[in-house]
Amino acid sequence: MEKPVIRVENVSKIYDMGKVQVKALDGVSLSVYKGQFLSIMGPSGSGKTTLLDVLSALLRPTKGEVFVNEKPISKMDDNQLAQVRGKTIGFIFQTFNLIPRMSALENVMLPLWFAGKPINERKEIAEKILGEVGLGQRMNHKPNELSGGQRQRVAIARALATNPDVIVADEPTGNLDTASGEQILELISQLNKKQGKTVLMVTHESEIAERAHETIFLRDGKIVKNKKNETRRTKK
Amino acid sequence: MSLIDRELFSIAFKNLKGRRLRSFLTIFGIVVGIAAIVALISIGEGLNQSVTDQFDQLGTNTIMILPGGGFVESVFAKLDDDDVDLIENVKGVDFAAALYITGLQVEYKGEMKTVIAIGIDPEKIEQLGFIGIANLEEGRNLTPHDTTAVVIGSKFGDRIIKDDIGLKQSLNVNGNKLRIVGILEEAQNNFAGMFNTAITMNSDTLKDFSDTKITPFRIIVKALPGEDIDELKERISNQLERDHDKKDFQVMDLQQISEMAGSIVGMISLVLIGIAGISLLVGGIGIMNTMLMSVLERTKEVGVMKAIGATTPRIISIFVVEAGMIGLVGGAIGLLLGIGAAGIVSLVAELTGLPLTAVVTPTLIIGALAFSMGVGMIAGVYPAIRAASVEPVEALRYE
Ligand SMILES: Nc1ncnc2c1ncn2[C@@H]1O[C@H](COP(=O)(O)OP(=O)(O)OP(=O)(O)O)[C@@H](O)[C@H]1O
Ligand SMILES: [Mg+2]
Repeated sequence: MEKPVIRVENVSKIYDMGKVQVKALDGVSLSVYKGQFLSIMGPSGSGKTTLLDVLSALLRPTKGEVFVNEKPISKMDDNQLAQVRGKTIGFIFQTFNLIPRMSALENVMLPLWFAGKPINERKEIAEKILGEVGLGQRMNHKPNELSGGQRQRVAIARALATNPDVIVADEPTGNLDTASGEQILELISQLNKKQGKTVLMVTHESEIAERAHETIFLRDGKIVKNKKNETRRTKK
Repeated sequence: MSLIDRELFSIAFKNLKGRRLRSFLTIFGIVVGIAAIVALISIGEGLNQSVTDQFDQLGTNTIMILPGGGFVESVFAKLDDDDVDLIENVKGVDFAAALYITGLQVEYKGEMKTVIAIGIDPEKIEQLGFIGIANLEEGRNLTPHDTTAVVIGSKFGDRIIKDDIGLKQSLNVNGNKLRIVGILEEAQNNFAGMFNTAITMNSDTLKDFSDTKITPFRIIVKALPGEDIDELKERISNQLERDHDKKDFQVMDLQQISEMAGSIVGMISLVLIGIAGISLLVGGIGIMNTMLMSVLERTKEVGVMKAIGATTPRIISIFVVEAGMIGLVGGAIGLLLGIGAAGIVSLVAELTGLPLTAVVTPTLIIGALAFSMGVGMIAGVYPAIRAASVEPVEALRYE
């Protein structure tokens, strides 16, 4: 049987707020396989972002274990974890989170710099990917000279720069109008279909979630429902 | 993966460019501190060098007589023409020569210029060569019968007349023609340096030209070989004091002249070290403060960078180098100001006849820049650690 890219085992995230304890995640177990497209839904405050953070090795759980390529992250220090993230996971945020002082090209080159790639390689890769997401003509623009949709494309290019297996996206269309949101979703779907990227995406809208192979529903930090979207499913 | 590369500096530079340095105050401390240090070191270096020069060139058997005893009288006290003969008769003196100095209005090619004119006894001009004065480059030297002949300093044409005036040309003073018969070689030591931009002539002619009575500016005395300088000074001093009825002059050997310069520089140094120390401390705190603000503002950015693979040392390096660059900017401005200040000190020293020209070496320039960058980097360490300790998840939720 194939090994999961990311596996969480009975993870909980508890925030101790003094008087009360907030259980953002409550005993969640989940395996994510290569090529899978998983969406996460649930009401506000149900723990979607927290689960995504844990799955992407950005947040250590209070209880339970996270495995990235079957390696437990509790055995890694923060720097090793940063490097594992840099190699394995590409992040797309609702608010884009580009560095405002840097051009599109420089933003995309950044994770490659963190990964220790030499300058000419960084530039070559970043230019190629920006071309692929349709921003070949906008590479030297700063984020504030780009539209929301274009910014999110830069962010997607940045997420793809180190050629990670997994793309995580927390409400990637939350700050976009319908048309550009649709284009971004199409782009993300294509990454899954054409490049075989594993995609984990948090969303509020069921129409968006339907693009995924599988949708997880969260409530109060627990998985309450797991719906397979057979029509879209290609394999596994 | 190496931590320090071109990208690091280009990113730091971008971060700096992106925000106005919060206020000039951020770098003010560094500017003042580095300026003080540069001035201090270049003056110290200059003093060192000129003292060595003086000893090399003037030898240890030279004594100088200056008018004035204490500080106040020095303005009014005067040496006499007769003092020269008086001193020459003191036992142990090889020879003594008076130097006169005054400003003269000369006309050259229809233009009036004020030049410095030095008067000297032509019989003694050759002998003064030993202290680096009046050595000839071209033409001939003054001879005892010369009344209207002058020799010009090596930079006189360049700096004063702004024309390549040379041999056989002449200057007019009140209708009198002064023929240029010789050009002096460039004097290296500070004292003789005043000859470089001046004209030198028979002191009798100079006295005739001047409306007011001019008296010796310095009397230069050369001791016979093997004389005890301290004892000789004592004898000269006693002789002059008996003649003047008061001690309205100073007898100095070169040691004392350089000590005088040294004590002044020492005093300046002390003040400058104080200013430099305090300023650098203030500057460091200023940079630290700016960087802490910047870390706060960029919390989310740091979170993003950590999410996409930046390690703790990487984040630290980004902020430390940025702080170092703020220091470097301050240091560069400070360096220029320091060189300027040292230049002014040299100028004042030259005007007052102290042997001192500030020397700015490449080592000093590089050292000052490296030091200012170092101060910035040290000031950046704490903010950088603060930045690097940001939890990515919390930073990403930060609004
Ligand atoms: N740093 C924190 N300290 C305390 N409580 C927190 C913290 N981060 C998250 N929580 C709490 O954990 C719970 C889950 O939060 P999370 O952000 O995962 O929800 P979400 O499903 O993503 O919500 P939304 O749809 O609004 O983005 C919430 O109750 C939230 O208040
Ligand atoms: Mg959320």
